[in-house]
Amino acid sequence: MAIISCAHDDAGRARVTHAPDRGAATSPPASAPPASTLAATTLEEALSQLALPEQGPRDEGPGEQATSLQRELQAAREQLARQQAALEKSEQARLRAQHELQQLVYVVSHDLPAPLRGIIGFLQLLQRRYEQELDPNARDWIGRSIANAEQLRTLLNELLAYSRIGSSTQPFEDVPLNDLFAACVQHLAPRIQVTGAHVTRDELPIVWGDRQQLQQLLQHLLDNSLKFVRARPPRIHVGAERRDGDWIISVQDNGLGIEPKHQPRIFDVFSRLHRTQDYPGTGIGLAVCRRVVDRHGGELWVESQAGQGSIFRFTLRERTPEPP
Amino acid sequence: MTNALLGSRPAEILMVEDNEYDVLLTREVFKETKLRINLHHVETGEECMAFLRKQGCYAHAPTPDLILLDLNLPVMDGREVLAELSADDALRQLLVVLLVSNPQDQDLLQKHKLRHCPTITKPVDFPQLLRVIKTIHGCWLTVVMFPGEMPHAGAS
Repeated sequence: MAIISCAHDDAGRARVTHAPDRGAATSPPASAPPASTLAATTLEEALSQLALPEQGPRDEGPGEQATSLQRELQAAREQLARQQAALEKSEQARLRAQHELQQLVYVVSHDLPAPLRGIIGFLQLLQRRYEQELDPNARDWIGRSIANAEQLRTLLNELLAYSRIGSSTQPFEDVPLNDLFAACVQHLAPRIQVTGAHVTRDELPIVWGDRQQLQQLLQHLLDNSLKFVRARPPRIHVGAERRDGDWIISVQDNGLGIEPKHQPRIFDVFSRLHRTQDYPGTGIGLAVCRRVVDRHGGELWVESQAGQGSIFRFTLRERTPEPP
Repeated sequence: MTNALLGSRPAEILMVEDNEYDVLLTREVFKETKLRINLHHVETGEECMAFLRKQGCYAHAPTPDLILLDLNLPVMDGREVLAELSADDALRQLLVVLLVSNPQDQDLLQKHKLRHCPTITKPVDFPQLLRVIKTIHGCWLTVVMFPGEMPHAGAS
């Protein structure tokens, strides 16, 4: 406002000098203030100046235009504020949910194992010290209690391992899948030997990822193929092919296969298609696999028919070159 | 320590653990090993430091031959106890075994670069204790064992 009146004064004084008979006070501003003075104000201030009715009758046209512009600006600003508030609210909700999840994981990981350890510990003590004084029923029941508590501990540990995949802070690195394959085969050697399985591979690429998690992924898939065996000897092949810049890694077996109607839920946590007595396990393996692949920005799927073996495929990337 | 090496006194072990059942079970496990062990117990990191510095009610506490230190303690946790021990010339030489209870603790160890510390996953059992002690102090076991009384668990 001050700047504009100043400009006005300047113009008036100029007129006083050159045409004293007309009078500076009665003369309306000859034109809009100079651009240079406007530039010093904010857009908002300028718009409010233009819209002032006392600027004179000649300003009415542009003034109305400015008023509508100002209204639009105001509306836009209000909308922005509303959206910002909504965004902040949903961000707060997200942070709260994340915090609650972390708390839950903390409780599960820290507070649940301790009493469970107590239960197992004292039952084992009872078993060791007093087994001879108990009748066969009591011995059996203690044994079953321990087995159940240990099953619970296994489930808890696996749930924890699953939850930790997302929160890992391990940086990605170049991971040669050939090495990973060798490590998995070494780890599974006793099972491979017992089942007489033929485990083979293509030349596998070097991919970009979390080595430990990728080993978990490959190991779970190989482990599955060694578990759900149909034909003897079991044949398992790990392959790799290039598609659209990604690597598609496949783990193919000649095992039991999975009926298409069961396929959607095999990647769910603790989802199992068989009784534990028939095929031991908790049903966490494929859920871990999916989570690992998710974290690496890839996809995991299965192609299978009952009785015709399975092919699990997942996509991984190579290291993206640093921008120059 | 000299006396302990000659086997003329029991080993003094300090367990820093806030879960009383873990302590009770550890006590029972030690009983079964037939080793001569005096198991002392404190519940917090602060009590641990007072015990080691023989302050207050711990004025007559023995210097432990081994400390079993729980990583998850209220207020002053195992990590902080370790830091304070290593900053203290008089306490730096003490043998410490960390007690961990779950994989999260392993993450914590890795995060705080404590992986070089010997650890036992709870519950404390004799095979784990034996394994750990062998790695930190080859002859420590001769300290506490009666001649000819090799505990059964030691074979595994």
